[in-house]
Amino acid sequence: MARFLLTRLGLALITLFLLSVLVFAAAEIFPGDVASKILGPTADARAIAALNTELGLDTPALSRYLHFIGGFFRGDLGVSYTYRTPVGPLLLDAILNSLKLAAVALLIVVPLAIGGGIVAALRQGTLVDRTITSLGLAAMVVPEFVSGIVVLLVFAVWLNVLPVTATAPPGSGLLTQVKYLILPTIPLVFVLFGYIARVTRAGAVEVLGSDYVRTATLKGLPRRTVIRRHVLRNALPPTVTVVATQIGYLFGGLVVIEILFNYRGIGLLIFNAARGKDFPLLESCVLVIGILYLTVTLLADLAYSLLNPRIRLGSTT
Amino acid sequence: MSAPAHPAPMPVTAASSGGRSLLRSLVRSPAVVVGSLVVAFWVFCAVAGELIAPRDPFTVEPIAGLLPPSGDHLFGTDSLGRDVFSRVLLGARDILTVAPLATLLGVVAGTALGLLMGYRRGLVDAVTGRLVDAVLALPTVVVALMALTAFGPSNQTVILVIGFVFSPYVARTVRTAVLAERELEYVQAARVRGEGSLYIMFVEILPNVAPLVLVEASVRLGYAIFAVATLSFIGFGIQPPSPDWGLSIFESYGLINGGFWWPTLFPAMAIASLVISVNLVADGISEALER
Amino acid sequence: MSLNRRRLESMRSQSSNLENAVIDEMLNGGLSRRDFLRIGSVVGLSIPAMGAVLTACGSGSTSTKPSATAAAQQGGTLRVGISAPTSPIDPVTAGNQGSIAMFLPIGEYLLQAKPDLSIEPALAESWSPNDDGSVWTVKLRKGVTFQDGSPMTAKDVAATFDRLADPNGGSIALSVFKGILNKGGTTATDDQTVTFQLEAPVGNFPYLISSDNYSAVILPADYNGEYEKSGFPGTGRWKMDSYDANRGATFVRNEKYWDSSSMAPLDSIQFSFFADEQPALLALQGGQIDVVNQISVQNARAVLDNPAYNIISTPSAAARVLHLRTDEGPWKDKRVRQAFALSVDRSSIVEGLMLGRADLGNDSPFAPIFPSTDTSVPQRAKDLAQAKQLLSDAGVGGGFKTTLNVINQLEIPSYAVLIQNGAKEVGINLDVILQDPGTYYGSAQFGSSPWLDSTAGITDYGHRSVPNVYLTAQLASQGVWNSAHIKDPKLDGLISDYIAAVEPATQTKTAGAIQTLLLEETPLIYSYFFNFLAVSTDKVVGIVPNASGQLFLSLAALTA
Repeated sequence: MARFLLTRLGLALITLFLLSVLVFAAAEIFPGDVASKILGPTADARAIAALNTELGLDTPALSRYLHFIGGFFRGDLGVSYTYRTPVGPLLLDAILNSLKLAAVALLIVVPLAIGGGIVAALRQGTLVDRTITSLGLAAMVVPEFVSGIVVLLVFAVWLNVLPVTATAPPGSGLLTQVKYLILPTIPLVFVLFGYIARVTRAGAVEVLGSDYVRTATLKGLPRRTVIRRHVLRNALPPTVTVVATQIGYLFGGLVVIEILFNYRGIGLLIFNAARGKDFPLLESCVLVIGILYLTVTLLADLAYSLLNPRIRLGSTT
Repeated sequence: MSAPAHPAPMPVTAASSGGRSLLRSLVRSPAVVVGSLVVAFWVFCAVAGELIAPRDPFTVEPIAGLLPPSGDHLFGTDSLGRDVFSRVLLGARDILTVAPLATLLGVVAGTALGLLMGYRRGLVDAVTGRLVDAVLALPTVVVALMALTAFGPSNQTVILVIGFVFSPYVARTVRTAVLAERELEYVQAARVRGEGSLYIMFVEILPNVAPLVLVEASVRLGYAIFAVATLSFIGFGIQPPSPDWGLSIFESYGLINGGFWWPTLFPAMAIASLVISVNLVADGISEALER
Repeated sequence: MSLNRRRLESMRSQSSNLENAVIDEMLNGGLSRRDFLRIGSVVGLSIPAMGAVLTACGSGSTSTKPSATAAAQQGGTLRVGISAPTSPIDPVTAGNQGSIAMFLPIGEYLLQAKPDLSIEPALAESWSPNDDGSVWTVKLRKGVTFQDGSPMTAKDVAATFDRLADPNGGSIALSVFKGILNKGGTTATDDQTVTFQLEAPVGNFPYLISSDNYSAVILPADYNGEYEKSGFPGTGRWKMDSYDANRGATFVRNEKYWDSSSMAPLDSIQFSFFADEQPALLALQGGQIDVVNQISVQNARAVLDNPAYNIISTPSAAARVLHLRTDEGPWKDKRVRQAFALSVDRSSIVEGLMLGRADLGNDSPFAPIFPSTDTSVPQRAKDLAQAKQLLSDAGVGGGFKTTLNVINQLEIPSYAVLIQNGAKEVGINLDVILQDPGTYYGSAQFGSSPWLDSTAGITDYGHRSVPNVYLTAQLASQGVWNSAHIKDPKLDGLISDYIAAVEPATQTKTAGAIQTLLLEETPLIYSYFFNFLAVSTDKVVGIVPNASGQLFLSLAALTA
């Protein structure tokens, strides 16, 4: 176990290094000039040159990269080019917001989708099955900005029962914060439900068709026990993997939701950093998401081996 | 822990001899028939939509923008006065090339990677796995902007980006399944027979993870259509004035709160009908295969 | 009449040449009443003096419509949705809408530009040029204090403009003052008097020290560039109470405002930051805010016909400019360029795309709102027959295919589609390439920027109170934004004539010559100049917009 964790840690460092190089390359090839993006293309050339010097952009790219990485390991994330404030607090605020949104979304969608998937599998081929899978797919293909605007119009403008923005006033309690996060969660549930439900359903269908479930049923075990002991346990591992892979999306890919619900999450921060060629901010955001992602996949692998003891931890490395 | 016994490997019998019976069982399923008809309709529209479109989907008439659905314009007009009905009919063209190709790219690359990682394990898995993780953790925005910078905006770029972003998802899912699969007797038996790794991966294991791959593919197709629309949101995707459904939705969604629902609703329904139909057919095929 | 004449004569003897030129122009019937008020205010004619001239011409009084603050109540909080600041708040370097909006309630200008481009005194009491318009003297109001109680003097004003004109300070106003005002050009003659020594005569200089040049808020002489850390200094009616770069800001009334007869009616103003217009509009519709600072006509469509909302619509000189390379490629022949321009259906673009919230463009930067624009130059309109004739004369009657680079912002992609449709009717097949702003502007240098290098492209240009910078940067041979690559000595001559022209009649005459030449050469297609739009609920009164898209909320109030 200890050896397994150590190996994973070493591999995680390699992944983060690859990631940092990718982002560095990206920030270098993104078009345009940092200062001219900040001041606007019609700003005077002298003002642009002055700002570039102030931001330290006249030093070679590689030395800026090494300087950043050196700082990152010491916990210093540098200063954002665009906002000209330390990256740390900016990032912390955004990541906490994203965590809250992702947590609420996962809490709603995971039980819903697993339940839906198993029900569909149990009633395989029936109308119930078709309805769950088709509705799941239909919801999945509606872009977030469409479902988002529809729920906003219905619940925030017409019915006026929920707030338009997702950001609760400062100092709000947990319940208030959750209330503010309900609307932005709905499009996320739409996007994820169909996928997770289908994976669960596929896993459950396979198990249901197996001899041992038939045997268990014939043995007279209660249906509920069969489902809990056999179906759920075998359908869950792929579901856990799929949920884990969505972490990247839930943290870095919610630009549209964050814009629409005026929520300061990390997706929007990354989007702005990428557009502004804001290398320290972009690199920090991506690395932090990378760390989060690696942690979650590690946990998922551990959970996987618990759910399915035939996979030994050593073999997943 | 009481580990359940694993189901015996399914024999793969869907080869040439079973072809006719497969077809027969497909035709008997109403879901498959309806799904095929809808898909066929959209394919026809993509190929020859001009024949049935009542108006030119590109002709603008800004003064006649946002007319509600009527006898003149069945689905109304969009903000530039273009006929939404005709645009929906013609809108199948781009999405029916971009989304399946992107899905195919992602699924083929991802499946190959997943088989390799899951079967070879060890160093191959470790190295490829780290790359896959790096790409999975990389926000799509960054990938999209990189591709945009390198290749410029075009349908090919969209296909590349979506395929690239999708492949690690598929790879991880396939790898997980292969890890379980490779421990089973039929794989051991093949190894004892002295079959090569490639043969075992693609001939022995692949058919057994095929249902999973098929599920991934059908889900990915839905996400591909979704991703094309979302790429438009960040300013890159299928380019105007294409009547592409995702693009049309992006161009019109801001008008919903003014009560102008038609330029968004009809393309959205078209997307949903296509994705659901494709899945009905895919489900039918995988059920027939299992039977 | 003779009495009026006599009063005028005595006034003339006290006025500068420039002021007299404006008075003469009016008396000779060369100016409309509206233009006279605009131009007169620029050269510093006082309201009573302009009244005398108008009476002499039988044009009636100068009294403008009283602002509709009658029904307003005292107190209350105004909630405003603005676009999130994307740079630190600093009047010297801020160029984005959100950052600018943050210092407008706090700061004040020497002069206030009205939406119709007439100018009113603010921190300045009076202003006047020397005979050729190369030296401007501004008298400051007495008793003005900063919010910390210290008096505002000529030293602060001189320091403010030196800072803006400092080539090494990263000032956003450098491009505005380029070739006009240098560091050291502003001097405090005494505590209440400031002299601007210009690099060249500029008849429209007052606009550059007015609210129309948003950077020009008066800051204390010892301002060190740290606006947020030094406590958001200014002389205005509003004080910063709290600011959170992620959420918004709250302003409270400055109880020690220097003009106690004109205090802010509201108790506080709350800004909420939005990353996009759509959520801001939804927040307005959901009753969470009262005003949306700026909105495109496409998004405003949702509330355009709803009587519960006021659309504040301000004409501007901002435009989506289409350039055509005049030096190479398919547009080298000017007949081809003319044909393209004739394929554009401007009136349907203004009505259909902009819903009437725009002025027609005539392929030059001379927007209808500029007083100097020669309105007698014929308006170009769609004419397919002539366009086809021109194309066949140029040897491309069979049509051709080429690309159009388009910046992907706001309504511009839709505009490109309309342009594409029109061009198709005359056989020009345009392949539209949409590019995000970063890609489109590239390095903003010739040789590595689609904006400056493409054979044809559509660019987003903001409002300027005078067309000078567009003439020198877009159209002069050495212009830094000359994406059409036009090099025409005659045009260069006319442009320098126009900038040096101080008298309104000369300005209009030169403008007319430039407009005519540009119609002939067609390096640029200006189809429309859009209006800046803001939306408020019908409970809000007293918002003053300006033509560069800013809202002045100092005197805003809520009705019961």
